[in-house]
Amino acid sequence: MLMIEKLEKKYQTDREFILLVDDLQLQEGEFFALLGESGSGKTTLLKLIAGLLMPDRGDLFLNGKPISGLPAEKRGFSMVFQQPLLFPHMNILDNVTFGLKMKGIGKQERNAKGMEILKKMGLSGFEKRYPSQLSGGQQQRVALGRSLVTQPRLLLMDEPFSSLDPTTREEMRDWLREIHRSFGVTILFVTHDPREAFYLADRIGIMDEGVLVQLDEPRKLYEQPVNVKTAKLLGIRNLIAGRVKQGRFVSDSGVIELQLHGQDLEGYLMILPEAIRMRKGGVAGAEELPGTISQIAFVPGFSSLKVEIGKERLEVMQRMEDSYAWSVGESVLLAFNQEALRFIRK
Amino acid sequence: MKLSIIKFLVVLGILFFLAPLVLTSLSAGWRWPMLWPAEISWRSWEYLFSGQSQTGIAVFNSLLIACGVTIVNLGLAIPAAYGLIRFPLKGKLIVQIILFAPLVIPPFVSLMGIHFTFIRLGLTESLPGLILAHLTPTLPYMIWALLSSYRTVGPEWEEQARMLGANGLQRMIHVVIPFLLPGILAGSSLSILVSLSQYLITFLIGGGQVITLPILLFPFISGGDPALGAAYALLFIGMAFLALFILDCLLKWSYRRVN
Repeated sequence: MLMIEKLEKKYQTDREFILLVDDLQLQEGEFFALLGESGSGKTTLLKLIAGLLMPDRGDLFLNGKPISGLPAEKRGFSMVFQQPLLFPHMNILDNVTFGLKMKGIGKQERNAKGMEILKKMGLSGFEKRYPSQLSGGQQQRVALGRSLVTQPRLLLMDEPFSSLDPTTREEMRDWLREIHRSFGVTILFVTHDPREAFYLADRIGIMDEGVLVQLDEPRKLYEQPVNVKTAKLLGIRNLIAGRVKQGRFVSDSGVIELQLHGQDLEGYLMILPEAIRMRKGGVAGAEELPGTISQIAFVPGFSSLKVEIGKERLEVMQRMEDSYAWSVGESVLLAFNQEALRFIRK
Repeated sequence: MKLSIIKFLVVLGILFFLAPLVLTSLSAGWRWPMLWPAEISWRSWEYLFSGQSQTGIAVFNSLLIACGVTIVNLGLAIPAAYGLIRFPLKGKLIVQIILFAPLVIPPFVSLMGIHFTFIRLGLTESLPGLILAHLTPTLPYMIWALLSSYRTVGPEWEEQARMLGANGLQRMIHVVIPFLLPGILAGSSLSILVSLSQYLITFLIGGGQVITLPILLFPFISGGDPALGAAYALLFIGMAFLALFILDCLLKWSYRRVN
């Protein structure tokens, strides 16, 4: 439905960047997440699509029609910002119906629609209150309701949960999935949190220094990031520098050596922590590496361990088992699921 | 307890300065070294409220000019302050200095030029001319009050309103102005008070044809009749207090609506 063509915009954070998006297409009804560090240009791209910023070059099309020349208020998009930005001088109902009022819809009709949307947001009975009387999560729900009541063609969200406390954030995440499903609205969601993107999105686009470096479904992205920076952004920590030679990977430190098919190249070996099998120390079998546990943390259902192999340190996730508890300083042997090993070129 | 003592002292202080005015306005022939007026007389108050004194027209003119000035000020200062806050502008400092210059430059300097120009344009001796002339000393206060108010309306509020479909005018009316209300009321108070107390500008531009309260007041205090001068001064204070009180009520009402 939305199509971006060779969009270009100079923008400034701590230094000057040029945002350049060659081609991006959003599908009707999809949940698309833009993931990137701060300063990567994700918010700039969002504002370009919203019409709050004008591109230096390039075009935007909505269902085939160019919209680059339209001001933000005429595009029929809505946006939820980091802060709820509820107008403090209006009560909740007036806030929610603001967009309808701007469209010139009569008071009776817009109040009826407002009450209906408040009900869907689980905020019936709050209509006469003022924003300062609501909690942060409730305020952000009102903000979302206010954006949905106008039936936008595209809903833009700029890190809408980042100012909420962790528990509320998780609740809101679940709830947003529900809303997305029941309203069938197309959502473009900007975030720097990979877990949030994985949890919510149908597709994720990764931004880095103003460029869309990778775009895929969450699972594919996680299994094959295009470069180390992207892998780190996705929260993958087991990245070992080294090179592939004659079917084997050898780490720069020399302590990790594993069978790995591929061309002779320099780069990084990516090991997903859940693809490592660990057993108590003893005689190492083929393709098993000896190591020492240096740290143990509890993650519900799992033990998250750090295992030192010489100079290298790997993160290992092990399912909790009643029969055995790992301890720090223990010698262990690690085996790797070959299919989960990925090589990322330098 | 401490607060009530301070309040008591403030009231005492005001009475200390007002009491001589009240006494003077009621006196007939109060000369040094007499501690009290020899005789109490309502003469000055009777004159003040009599038809020949022009008090009514003076109060009316004063308030009309003050309100007119304030409305024009708002029309000028709301966009001016907006421009200064929102847009990157080369030489912003110079623009600000020019806008605030009337606060430091003696009014007489600009007044002569304004007088000449107004004679040519036929604006002297008229209410519109006076309203325009009163802008010089009042506009800086209005811009000043609005600048600090604008700092509370970050651009994100307008972006949010835009994303809900509000065009420029709608954003101004429904979002920006409600945020500015405290500043608008503070600036209006200053604008009204400064306008009410103008003598020199009114005297020169009005040519003595437009009667305001300071025009009536001045000859009496500069030696003519202290009793009448005192009565007019009290009337002036009352009028100014009333204007402030009304604006203060409006301010509190708007705060209550926001919070």
